[in-house]
Amino acid sequence: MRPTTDEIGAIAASLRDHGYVADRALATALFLSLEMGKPLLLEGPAGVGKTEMAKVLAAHLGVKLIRLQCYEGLDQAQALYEWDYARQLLRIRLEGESAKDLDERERDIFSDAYLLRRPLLEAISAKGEPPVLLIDEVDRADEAFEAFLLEVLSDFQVTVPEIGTITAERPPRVILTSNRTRELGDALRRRVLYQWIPYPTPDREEEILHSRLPGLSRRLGREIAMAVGALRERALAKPPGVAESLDWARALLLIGRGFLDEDSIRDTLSCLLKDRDDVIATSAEEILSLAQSVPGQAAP
Amino acid sequence: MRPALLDLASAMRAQGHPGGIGETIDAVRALCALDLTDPEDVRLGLRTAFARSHEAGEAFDRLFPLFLGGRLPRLARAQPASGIPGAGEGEDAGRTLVAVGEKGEDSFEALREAAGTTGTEGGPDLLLDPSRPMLQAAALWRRALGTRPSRHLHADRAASRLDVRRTLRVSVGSAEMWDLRWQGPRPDPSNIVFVIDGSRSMARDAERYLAFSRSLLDVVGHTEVYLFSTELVRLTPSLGGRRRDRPTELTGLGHGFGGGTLIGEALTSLLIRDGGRLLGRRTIFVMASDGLEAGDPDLLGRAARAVGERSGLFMWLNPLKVDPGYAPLARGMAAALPHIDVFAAGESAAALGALSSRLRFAR
Repeated sequence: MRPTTDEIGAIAASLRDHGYVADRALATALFLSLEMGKPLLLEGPAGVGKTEMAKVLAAHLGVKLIRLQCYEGLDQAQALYEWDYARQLLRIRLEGESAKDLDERERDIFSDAYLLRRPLLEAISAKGEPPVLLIDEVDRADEAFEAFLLEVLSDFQVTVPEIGTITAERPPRVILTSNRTRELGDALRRRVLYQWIPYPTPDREEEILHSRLPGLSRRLGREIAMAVGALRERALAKPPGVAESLDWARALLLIGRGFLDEDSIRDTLSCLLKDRDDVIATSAEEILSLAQSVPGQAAP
Repeated sequence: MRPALLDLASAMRAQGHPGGIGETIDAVRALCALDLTDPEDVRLGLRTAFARSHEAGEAFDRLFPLFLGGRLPRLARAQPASGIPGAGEGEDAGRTLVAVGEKGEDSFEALREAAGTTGTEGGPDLLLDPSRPMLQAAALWRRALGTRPSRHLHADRAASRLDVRRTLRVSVGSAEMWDLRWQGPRPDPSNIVFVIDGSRSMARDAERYLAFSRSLLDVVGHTEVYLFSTELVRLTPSLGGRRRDRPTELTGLGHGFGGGTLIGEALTSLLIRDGGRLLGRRTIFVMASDGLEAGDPDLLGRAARAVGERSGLFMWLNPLKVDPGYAPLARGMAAALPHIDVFAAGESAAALGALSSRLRFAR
C-alpha cells in the first residue's frame, strides 16, 4: 500500500518536534532510506546539521545512536573491533607453562570475553530494535577504509577470524555524512541514497533559530538570518554554518539583546567567525548593514 | 513509466553521472514507496534514487522537466541516441557535458562553433625543450611540498612504535615469549593536478606551462597533466617517463590544442572522469588559462567551486595578470575568481618557482 504524502510530512513534523527543521526533500530522502533499508549519505558544507540529523533520527525512532567518527588513519581495528591486549597478555603470563595445548590457549584468549566491540561491530551485533549508525565525516577516512565500509554496508556482516561471522539480526539504519573534503568513490555512492544539504535560506534559518531558541525576538532572528546568509556569499575562509548562527543567537540572548547594533556584534563576533582573516576582513558595521538589508537586494 | 525511467537513467549517464541498473531499481522502489499523485514527491523520490552527488543532483534538476514532458530522447537500446550528445553506454558517454536540458544538441553545436572548434584531427605538434630554469623552479616546488607522515600506520621494522596486535599474534605460537613487531606512519605525499588551456588565445603561454608541468612530473612526481581547448586531453602518459635532457614531442592533441576555449566543460569533464581519483586535501590544483571562456560562465563557476572545495589549494595562473592594468572582469574569470586560493601570472620560470612560497593548503 502506498503511503500518503502525510507520512513524509509526519516525519518532518516529528523531526521539528525534536528541534530539527527539515525541508521536504530531506524528509523524503529519510523516508525512502527507512523504507528501502538503504544507508543515507548526507553531503553539504560544514555546520548545516548533517550530524544533528542522525541524532534527531535516533530520537525520533526512540533507538540508540552509535557514532563512528572518521578521521585520517582510521582503520578496521578502531572501527570494528579490537582485542583487549592488556588482559590477553596478563592471561598468557598467568598461565605460564600450563598444560593446555596451543590451540586451546589460543581459543581462550581469542574468545568473546576479550573482544572490544567498536562502533561498527556494536551496531551490527545489537539486539532488539536496530540502532541508528552514524558514520560521521566519512570523507576524512582513507580510501582503504572506504573500501572496507562497502563490504559492511552491503551485507551488514563482519568476520572476526578467531570467532566467525557475525550478521546483523536487523540491519542498523545508517546515516553517513561528508563535508566533501575528498570525493567519495562511486562504489560507495551506489550503495547509498543521497541527499545534499545546502545552507538554509534566510527564511528557513529564521525558522531554525526560533525552533531552537524560543526566546529569540522576531527582529533579532530576522537580522541574524539575513547577516549570516549574506556572509556565506562572501569568500570567507570559514563561512558560518547553522551551528554558528545558533551560537551567535544564544550569545546575543545571554547579553540581553533584542536587536543587532555595532557594539553587540563586536562583543559576540567570536561566536560567528572562527578564522582570523575573516574577522579582520569583516567589520561590525558591514555585518549590521548586511543584517538590515532587504531580501533580494545587495547591502549598501 | 518504466521505459521512461530507463530513458532518464540513460540521460543521466549521458551527462556523465551514474544511471545504471542499481539506480533504476532504486528509482522503481522509491516510486513504489511514494504517493504517485504528488508530482513533487515523485521528483524528490527519483532525485534521491538517481542523484548520488551534488553535481548529479544539478543534472537531474535539468533533466527532470524533460522527463515529465516526455521530451527525453529515447534510450539507445533500439538505435544510437540522438538529442543528447554522447548518450549511450561506454566511456564516451560521460565526455560531453553541456547542460542538455536548456541547450539541446543544436545549441551544443552552436556553442562549439562559437568556441571556434578548429583543432584538427591529429593536431599540431609541440616540442618541449628541457630547460634548467624550469627544472630549478620545479625543485623549489618539491622542497616546499615535502612529504609529511600520514597518521595511517603500517608495518615498519625501523619504526619505534610497538605493534601490539602483531606482537601478540606472533607470541602466542612462538617459543620466544616476546617477539616484538614495530609499526610507523607511512608517507603521505601531496599530488599536483596541472590543467593547461591550449586554446588559440593561450598559444604564446601554453608551451611555458607545459614545460613547467613536465618538469614537475620529472622532479616532484605525483603530477597529472591535462591540456584542453574544446576537449580535455590527458597528457601525463605523453610527458612522463622521458629523459630530462631530451625534448618531448607532443602529437595528436586534436581538440585539446589550438581551438576555442571551453574551460567549464573541460573542468567538469575532469571532475567527473578523474576527480574522485585525483582530488583531496593534499592536492594542489593548478589551472593555467587566460579565463576567456567561450562557453557557459555559470558552468565554469560551478566547476571552479567544486575544484576549490575538493582540493587542498586551487591556484590559477593567468598570463594576462602580468599586466599591471589587468582586472579579472571577463565573465568566465569573474565566475571562477571567488573559489581560487592563489591567483598569479606565472609569466616565467622564475615567477613559477617563486610561487612555491604560496604552496600552503588552504583547507
